[in-house]
Amino acid sequence: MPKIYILFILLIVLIAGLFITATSPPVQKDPYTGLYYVHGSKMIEFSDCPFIEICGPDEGPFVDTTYFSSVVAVKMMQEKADTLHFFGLPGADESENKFYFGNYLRSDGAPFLPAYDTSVRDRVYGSYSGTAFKIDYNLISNFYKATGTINNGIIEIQGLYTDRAISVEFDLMGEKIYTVFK
Amino acid sequence: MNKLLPLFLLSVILAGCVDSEPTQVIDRTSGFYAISGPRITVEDSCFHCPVGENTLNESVIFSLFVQVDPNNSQRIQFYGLQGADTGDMDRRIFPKCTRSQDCEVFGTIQAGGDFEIDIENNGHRYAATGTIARIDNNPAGLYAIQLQGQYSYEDITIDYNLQGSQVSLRLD
Repeated sequence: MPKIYILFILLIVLIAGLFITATSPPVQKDPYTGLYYVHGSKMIEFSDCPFIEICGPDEGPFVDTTYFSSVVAVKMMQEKADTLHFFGLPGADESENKFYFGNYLRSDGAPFLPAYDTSVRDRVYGSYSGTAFKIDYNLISNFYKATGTINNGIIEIQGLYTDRAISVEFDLMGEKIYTVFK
Repeated sequence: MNKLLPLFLLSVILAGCVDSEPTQVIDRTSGFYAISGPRITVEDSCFHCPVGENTLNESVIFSLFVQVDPNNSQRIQFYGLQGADTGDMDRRIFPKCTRSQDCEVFGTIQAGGDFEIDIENNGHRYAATGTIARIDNNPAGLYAIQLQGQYSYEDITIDYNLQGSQVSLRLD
């Protein structure tokens, strides 16, 4: 067979290979990993009402509810089976220090986010099974617990942060931001 | 000559299969940042302010995702910037937004890392200046961010003086 025809056949095989590679679907990521835009409510309840002029002993605890949104990153851990890693989770590693009635300053989460790369033990992890996940984030004097689901790019989180003075209930939902990783 | 014609045609086809996109400069400023700093709220009818005052000195800690437009190195997008696309619903420029694509926050960034944001939406305004610069002697080559931002609407003004560091978290 002339050499020119052998070369011709090799080029056909090469082109076919390139075509197959170009049209193959991208490798599917796991269904959890992604950046999520979440929104919902945050209800703060004070164990003991510090504002005698606002709530007396018979009026029950003082409750403050706000509606907000945030961005949360979720990553399925390859090296830890059945484990999800959360970054920027309100009530866990994301928080704000707010004043109530002029003189009562309270935080609604742990202040550990800035130490992400220097204090690895303070990172937030949860376990998952199917579409459901659970977080149990114990700190020295407070804790954050949550349950939730991630299904078809939709996340739902019911979280609870507590310390000795307050408890904060988070009820959040949101969807994955698909436009980030182009 | 006729024997070389198929080879020539195939070479042309093959050249068309090769990815012809220009090589892009590697962008290392994009990524996740851990942000913190004071938030100062000035409001005429301030419910939680000390008696007789109109100012709240509080602080925030939150995550921020930054992405430089791969097709325009002077365009930068922020995801999770309090006062802009996230935070209290009634204290940000997109009050009713529940989906990220409905409240996108873009800014401009210069080669030296200085950036600006200026967005107005139905009387809500968020303006900020800042810098993203590589951290000295950081073995991982991570960046730091500084941001001075202000949200304003009617009689409310909220100033943010934020700083933070890029973290090693990656999702890809």
